[in-house]
Amino acid sequence: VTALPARPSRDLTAVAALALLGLALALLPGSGWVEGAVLVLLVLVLPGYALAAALFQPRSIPAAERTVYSIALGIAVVGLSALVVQVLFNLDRGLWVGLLLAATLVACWAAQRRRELLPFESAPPRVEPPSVNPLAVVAMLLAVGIAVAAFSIAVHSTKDSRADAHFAELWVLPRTGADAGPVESAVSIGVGNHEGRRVSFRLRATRGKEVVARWTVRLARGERWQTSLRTPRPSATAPLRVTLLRDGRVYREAFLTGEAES
Amino acid sequence: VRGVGAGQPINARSAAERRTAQEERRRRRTAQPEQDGADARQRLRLGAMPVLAVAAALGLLLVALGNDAARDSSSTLQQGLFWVGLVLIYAPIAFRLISSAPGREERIALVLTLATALFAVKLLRSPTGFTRFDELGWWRATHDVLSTGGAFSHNPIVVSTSGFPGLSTVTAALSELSGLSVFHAGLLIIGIARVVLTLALFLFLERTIGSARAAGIGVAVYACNPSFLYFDAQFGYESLGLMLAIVLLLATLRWSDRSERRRPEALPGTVGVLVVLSLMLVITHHMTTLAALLFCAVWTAAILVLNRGRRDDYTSEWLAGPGLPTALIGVGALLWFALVAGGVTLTELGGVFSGMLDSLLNLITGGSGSKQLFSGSGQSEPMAARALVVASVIPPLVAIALGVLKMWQEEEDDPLRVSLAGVAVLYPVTLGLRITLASSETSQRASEFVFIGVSFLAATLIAEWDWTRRSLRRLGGLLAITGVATITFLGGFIIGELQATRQPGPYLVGAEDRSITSEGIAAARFASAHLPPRSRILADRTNATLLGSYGELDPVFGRYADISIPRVLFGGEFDRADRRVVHGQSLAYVVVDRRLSRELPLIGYYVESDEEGAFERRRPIAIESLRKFESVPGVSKVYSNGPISIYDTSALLRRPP
Repeated sequence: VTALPARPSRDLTAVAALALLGLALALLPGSGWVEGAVLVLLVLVLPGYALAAALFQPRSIPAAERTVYSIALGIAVVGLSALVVQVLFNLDRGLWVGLLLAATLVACWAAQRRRELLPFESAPPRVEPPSVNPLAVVAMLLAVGIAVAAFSIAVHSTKDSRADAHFAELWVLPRTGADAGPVESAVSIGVGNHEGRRVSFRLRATRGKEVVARWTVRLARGERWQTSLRTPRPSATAPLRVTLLRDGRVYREAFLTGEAES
Repeated sequence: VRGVGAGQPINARSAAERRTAQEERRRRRTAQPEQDGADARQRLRLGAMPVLAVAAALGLLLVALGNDAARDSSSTLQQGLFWVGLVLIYAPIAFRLISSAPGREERIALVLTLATALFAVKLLRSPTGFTRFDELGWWRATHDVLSTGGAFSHNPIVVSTSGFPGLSTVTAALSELSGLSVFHAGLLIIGIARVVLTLALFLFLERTIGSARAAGIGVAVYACNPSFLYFDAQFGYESLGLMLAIVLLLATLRWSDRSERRRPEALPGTVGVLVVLSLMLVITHHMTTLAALLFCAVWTAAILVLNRGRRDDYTSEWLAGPGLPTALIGVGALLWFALVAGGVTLTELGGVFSGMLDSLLNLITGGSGSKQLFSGSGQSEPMAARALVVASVIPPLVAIALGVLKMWQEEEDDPLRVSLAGVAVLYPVTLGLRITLASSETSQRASEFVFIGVSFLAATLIAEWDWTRRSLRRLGGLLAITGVATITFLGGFIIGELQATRQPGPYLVGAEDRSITSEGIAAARFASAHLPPRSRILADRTNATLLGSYGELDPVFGRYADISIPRVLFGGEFDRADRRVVHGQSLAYVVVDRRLSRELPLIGYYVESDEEGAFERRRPIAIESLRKFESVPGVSKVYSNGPISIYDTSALLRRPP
């Protein structure tokens, strides 16, 4: 029995190269969708493929079963290694890349070592993708096209139904850290327009019966507006009341009050 | 029922023939269905699959159009489009899988098409973001992994995520590295898990029954389980756990084969898969871990009982067969339960099981009545749906009865097959659990496990049916079985999903996905941008879910000093007990959704299932109860978008009640 020559397997070389490419892309800023695609592979495919290759020698199990194990193992490697590592370090982007790269390369190395011990006649054959009837390919592309159309309808339908909800937000919040002292306080006032069109709002802040401030706010669809106001500290007897008016009518109201009297 | 090629009734077979048939099945199980890396370039024989994929895609188009129309109203036509779409996806593929014509490659392609298309149905239901309670809970868990770098953050929505971080860490890794949102990363992982689950189930049944045809039929039957279409396609730990469990069973099957264990090229791999997947399953989902453990233990016990006295079987080898995964899962689960997840598991499952037992005991002792079938709190099923549900539970029951009878007549002594039949027999028990509201949840959650046994028995029966009759009668038989399977599929979906949540539609109170609206999402986005993270809040279930996920706040449930926390929302006035709750629970905000006063909650409760009046209310909450916060001294109204207001109660915390 002759052992295989110590030449790297093509599939393992490709997996290791893709993993290293993932590292390079992760270090480079703004590589866009290419980076995303390669890093998806680094999470979901490469560690699992390499680990399955290390665990099962070529042709030792059927292809479908190998596929199932590869994906399940890949997901398990991510979950289990993260669980161990997070005991010592915070899981962040750098750690994820390093972890998955290390898992992939170590598994590739182990798989290569096992393959080198194979008898020559068990050498992994050159795998060629199976051919498919062109008509079948056309039909499957048609199916994908129709499914994409269905998805597009669903997305637009969801967005349209969300856009059908016409409303506006009003908020008034005490600004922590910007307080002027025991007598005065700073508050943050904001409006969000979800009316589905450009709308002109009027805004009025009152303390007791005294009008503290007025604004006219013109907001485009989806736009938000925010301002801050310094007023005497709101109290139970003199709360700060903010009223949002649309078309001259009271539309929303919010208020800040002080601590309850004992 | 006749045996394959035997041409005589099964009960007329001799013991020797039965033995031969069982040996043949065992031989086929150990045979390798295919080998990877064939030297020659092969043509993939997909048969009718591409055409059926087009049919399934057209089905998806109809589902999308039905959903689109249903967003505004729910007429018969809109529902019709949806249901016809489902039939168009399922029935043609089921028909082809049942027929004897396709080859193995086509069958695999068909089951993968079915899995993908049915997953897409769930995707079409909510294509732009998660809307289900569990999904938003897992969104929060994943978001916490991304923001804290740790895997065990407390999750106020789905408490058990902190004990089972498998899904959240994997999703966080994918999201962090690829730049995908948590939603898209989650969809990708669950979609892949769904496809792998289906393929693994096919391979498992193929090796168990010894027939690719039976395996295809088995997958088609498994898709009929009430949780398959929506619940197990959601972004939740069970969706991932099920996949891991089925792949683990597939590896266990390989490990149980003595000849496999003697092959040095596959032995370490099988052990490695068993170890890694057992551990991953343990950290991913409690119920699936428990189900896998119980099944492997039963399988081991069946080996010990049925193979007693046979020296040539694997009973003589310690940890051979399912013994090893039983030990791995058992030890792993025990340690994980003791060191990490015991508390959250008891909190979640303890509530479910104790509720089930309480309701059953109450039913037996006359303390309460049974659940009214076909009705949620606010909606009841139309007559056609009721008929479909009744019709859908009959075929599995018949398949179980005939399958068990057949095994009995054949004196079946294969431990795995006997164990699978034992799982199937639990199906009628789970149906019985649907007589009370509390035990319905247990029944629902058990369906994805017991249907593995049901699919095995049904597939065995259908595949071994005598199909050698004349073509016209054979076609009639195929159509009839496809029709029955389709009814079971549709009925299963009706059983598993509330009428209101099967399709999108206008806002409803307390109706899970149907209660998620732009106003709720806007309030959650506001909270995320402007309120201190992890502030403790009181809100109804829908807003608590949104604010607890997208809003990054911590909703509070349960009781404080024996006072039900939700009473703060329901009382006519804000009294001393409410103050005690707010103070004692450090509630910084109370969120009020005035729409709650419009109607009764569809799921039977506003905040949580054990709140006062849950499932018993006859009238919705009064608007005055929701308005009372406008005049509570010390309480500020910091946000309003019309229906939803957020009240700041933090000033109440500085003074004892």
